[in-house]
Amino acid sequence: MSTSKIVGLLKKEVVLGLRNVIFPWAIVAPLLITVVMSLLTGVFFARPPRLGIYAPGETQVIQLARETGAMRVLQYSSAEALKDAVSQGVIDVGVIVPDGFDEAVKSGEKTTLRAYVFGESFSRNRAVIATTFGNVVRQIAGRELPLSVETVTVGEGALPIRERLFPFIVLLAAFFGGLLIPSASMIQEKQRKTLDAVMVAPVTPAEVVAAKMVVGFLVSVVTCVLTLAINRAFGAYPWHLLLAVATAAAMASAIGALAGIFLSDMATLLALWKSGALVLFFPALVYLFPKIPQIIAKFFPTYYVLEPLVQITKANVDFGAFWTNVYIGLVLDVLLLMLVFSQVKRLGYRVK
Amino acid sequence: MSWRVIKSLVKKDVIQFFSNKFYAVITVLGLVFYIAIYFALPKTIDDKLSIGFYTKLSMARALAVINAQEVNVIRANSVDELMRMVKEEKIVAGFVFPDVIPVSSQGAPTVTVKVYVPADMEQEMRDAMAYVAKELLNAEAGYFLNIESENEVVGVDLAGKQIPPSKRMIPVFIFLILMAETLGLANLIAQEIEQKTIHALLVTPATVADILTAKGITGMLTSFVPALLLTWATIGFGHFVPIIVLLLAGTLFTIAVAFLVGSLGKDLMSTLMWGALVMIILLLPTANVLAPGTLTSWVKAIPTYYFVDPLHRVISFNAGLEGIWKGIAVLLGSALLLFILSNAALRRRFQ
Repeated sequence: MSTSKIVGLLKKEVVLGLRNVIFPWAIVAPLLITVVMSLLTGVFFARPPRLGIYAPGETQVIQLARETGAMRVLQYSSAEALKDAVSQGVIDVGVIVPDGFDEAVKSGEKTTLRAYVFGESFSRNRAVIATTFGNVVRQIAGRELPLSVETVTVGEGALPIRERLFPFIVLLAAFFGGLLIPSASMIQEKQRKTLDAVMVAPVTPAEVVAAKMVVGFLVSVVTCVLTLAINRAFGAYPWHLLLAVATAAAMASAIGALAGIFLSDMATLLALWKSGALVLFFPALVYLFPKIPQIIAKFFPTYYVLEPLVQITKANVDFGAFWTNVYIGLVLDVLLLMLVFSQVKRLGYRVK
Repeated sequence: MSWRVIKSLVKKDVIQFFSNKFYAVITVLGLVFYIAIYFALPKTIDDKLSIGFYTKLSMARALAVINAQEVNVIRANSVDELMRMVKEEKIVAGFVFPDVIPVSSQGAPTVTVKVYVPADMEQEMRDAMAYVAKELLNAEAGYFLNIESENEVVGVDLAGKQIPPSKRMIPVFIFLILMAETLGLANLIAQEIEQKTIHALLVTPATVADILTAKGITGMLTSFVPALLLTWATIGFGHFVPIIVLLLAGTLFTIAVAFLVGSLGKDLMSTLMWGALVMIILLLPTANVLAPGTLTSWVKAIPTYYFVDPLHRVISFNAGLEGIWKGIAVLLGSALLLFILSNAALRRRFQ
């Protein structure tokens, strides 16, 4: 295999690929699903309370409210902007903190706050904002009891819905473009007979496949990183994360290349994507439904690329489990690549 | 224009539309699927905060404060009962308060309040529950703040009577039905161009105007009828006039989109892909119907905002024509603009 020839083919793949509608889709689809998922969790599950504050003077309220972590706090530059945000539902409650508020509460002087409440906001969000804001004011006024809070979790296993959905989104980001781009590209070239034309040029089938896999790999990495960025899930170990992403992207592009070698039309590819999705995404389903025993997920190859990705984005990383799964994932990648390159001759036979 | 020719063309297009199994199936299955989901979704929504507590304190003052905020409060007889209530999801959090209220003075020992929460509770809510617990105990101790709050509810106050997800989903489902049929119509146009049957048609007495009008009528039949059926199956015959007017305006807009996508697409795959990309952009305004405030004012630049938002206001807030006519005007104006653009693009491709 010649690297310079692969680079040449890679340029062709990127230029022609950008004209192909599958290319933008490979990037858009996982990001779109991220947005839709978070939107639907907002519809069917509680949305975090959102407080807006307009404070014309100096006050500690904004900083202390942000430090609570109990609500999202947004600052506005005018009372009109605050009210507009409430009317659009951007925030549940908008509070105007008057000038000299902090001094007034410290001295116990009676103070009046003006608040706008979004009519469609949930009662629970209003209650949380009212009590949390009250606590913030207490801190400024110095009128609070010497209390500490110990939070105890009842029950085990179930993570918040957003965390359970995350593995599915990441896996989709890695596999959608990574798998579909090399496979669709090869199938389209077969259908348009352009692959036959390429085969009579001084390039080997292996170089053609390698170039297509590299494009799939790069798209997979980019989409995965974008998805992690949207989900604010970079974690504390970016190089480890990149390794985990690369392992997943390599697996996706190798499976895509295999599909491209064996399949001859788009309809079969789409049918395979739909039916094979269960096999690819089963490990993500185990995260989504914790009642499914995790041991079953270990029988699926994607588990070994998904688990390190999920592990490394967490606060407490189990590096023992991380490296074990990365090594298994890399071994699977190598096996898949060997399978791909042992089958590339199938493409070459077309012109013999 | 010859209406006899148009009638024949419509007949041909409808047969062609339903001969494509993909679009025929998504028309029927989509309708059944959306209706089934609507009936499966909850018809009510409990938006109140439900909490429980266990203590030997009376908590009379704290309860007076918390009840004013429409919070459901249950007193447990033991810590075990409190934990069970959390496990069974009867309450979102359970507080164990000390039996004696601590003294607030410098050097006084800190007292711990235990907060029991379910494992799947988001971190923000866990933090919020800690503040609720603190606030309750401060209120019980009589630590009131000398603050008065003047509250103004912006919009219709839905506290305690929120719009259920099933109702919020209707405008989205109607929109999806319209857009799915749009893809079908776009595919018809793309096929006509790709298979060069358009040239065969143009040597008959049919003119370009006849062909486009027939396609428009086909689109009207395949989009408007399923959308109307979905509306009737879910919300019945209420709001008849505004719904019909909105659906007609929405259908005209989606037909214009179909013409534009059809002029871009080459085959089923590319029409589907380009159409779906356009559909995603047009779908964005539904985010604000599902979860208000998700997207800010810029979303108003997308014409479909003037379809889903008025539809939501008719279905959920009983808005009449007088409250939505501006939206309808914007929608029709956008449709006209798209028709002019797509007409030019299609005429170019037909030649």
